[in-house]
Amino acid sequence: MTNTKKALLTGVAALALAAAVHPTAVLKSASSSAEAGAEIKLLGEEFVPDEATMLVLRGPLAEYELRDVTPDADGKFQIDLAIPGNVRPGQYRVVALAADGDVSASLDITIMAASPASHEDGEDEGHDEMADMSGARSDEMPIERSRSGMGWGIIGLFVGLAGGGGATLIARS
Amino acid sequence: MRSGADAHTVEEPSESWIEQRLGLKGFDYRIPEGAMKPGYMLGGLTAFFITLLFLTGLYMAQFYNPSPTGAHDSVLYIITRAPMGDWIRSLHSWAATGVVITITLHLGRVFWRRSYLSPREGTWWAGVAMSGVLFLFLVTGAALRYDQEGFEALAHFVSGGNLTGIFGRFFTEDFTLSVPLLPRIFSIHTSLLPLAIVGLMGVHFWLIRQLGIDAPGDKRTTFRRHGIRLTGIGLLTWALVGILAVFFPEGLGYPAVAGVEITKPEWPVLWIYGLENLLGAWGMIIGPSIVFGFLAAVPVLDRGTSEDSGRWVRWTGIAFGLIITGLWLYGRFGEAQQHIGM
Repeated sequence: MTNTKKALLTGVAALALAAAVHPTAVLKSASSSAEAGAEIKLLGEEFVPDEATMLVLRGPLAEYELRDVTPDADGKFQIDLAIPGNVRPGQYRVVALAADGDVSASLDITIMAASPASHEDGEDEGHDEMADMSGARSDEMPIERSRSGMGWGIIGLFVGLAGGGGATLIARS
Repeated sequence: MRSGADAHTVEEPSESWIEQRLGLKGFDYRIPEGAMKPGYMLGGLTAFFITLLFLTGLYMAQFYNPSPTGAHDSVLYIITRAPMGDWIRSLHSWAATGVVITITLHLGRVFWRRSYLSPREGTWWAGVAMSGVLFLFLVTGAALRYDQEGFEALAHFVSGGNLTGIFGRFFTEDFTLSVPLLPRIFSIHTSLLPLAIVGLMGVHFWLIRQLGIDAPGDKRTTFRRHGIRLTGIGLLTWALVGILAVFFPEGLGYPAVAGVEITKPEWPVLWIYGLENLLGAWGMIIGPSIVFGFLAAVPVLDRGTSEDSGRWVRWTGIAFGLIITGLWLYGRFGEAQQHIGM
């Protein structure tokens, strides 16, 4: 067998192996949104039977580990998944991670702020609305900014090229 | 062996390889030497800033989530996690500041020199239309950050839409149930307005090319030389905003709380805020309408038939400038007020 044929067969075998390790799994939920601190019913299908899967809630700024779940012999599971109470409202993705860290399946979900607790003593709800409104802030958030060495390099390149090029063209005109 | 009278003599090329293929000789038409001064490059500088806005905006659009539930977090993501996101976002903000400065100076200079007179009325009107589009860029862009200030900017769109009835219905939540207002504002900011500005720039530059640059002096130079110097100055301004973006990065407010109006808008529209303090929400409709209406009417009010008409228009322009400055100071230093029912 030539070296080219060996390489092709190896590649095809690797692809087949990868496909066999991570078949296309599916996560489903009756609701596409949930409040922080609430539970959602989550259904998993076509997972690798009896292989533990880690469920994670991924957002643009933070990630929350939820729980492990082990599908049954049919590759299915159905659980009540608790959303942590400290999750910021926003758009997230429930991600199922295989043992090697690859994403087996994902489900988009919107997390809303938890509803304010009801007042058993009959306190006026208008007062609570004012308390919510007083949380409004006009100042800027403190943001930790960091820049890598490559970032500084790119900025320096941009400023240097633009500045040097500009000065050169002005001199030539 | 060639004959002495060869009909197919090959001439030595006088243009470089790239000049031949891009037709750069088309830039060698004659323009007044006076156009080499920086004051005659303000419009071109605006185009340089607009180009930088396009490039940085295109980058940020890859990470921005225009949904109300995801917008603020996506801006935070751009600042803290997207590669070079913080600096590119600050570049975008400083380039917008640059546009406001250069377009104001350019418009003021053209107005003062009466370069809107016949036959350049069309050039002026295209320029005024571009100013209006740039104003819309500014106010739609402010809403996209969706912090407290951005939310209040969006609320102004809704309020203005409600005030203007059928003309403003597009800016209200009632326009459609299929998508909230924020994604539609994002769509306007990233597709409709860029199309408009590019089209108007094309008209504006075409007319300048056909009608010539209104600059003094009998000596002539080439537009190529003007373009080289303009490009040089434009690149220097890019370097300047690049440095400003490092040392003065753009911030972001806290997630919005509905029902209150506690912030003030960006500095270019503080005069409108001051007018709202006096007239209520109608101020944001009346103010820009009067200013842009006057600018559009200038070539009609002053046809150049007499010095009196020119003087009258100039003094009106000066008066407008003083009023806007006063309103700006009032908006800047006066206390924050609630103008719209949120």
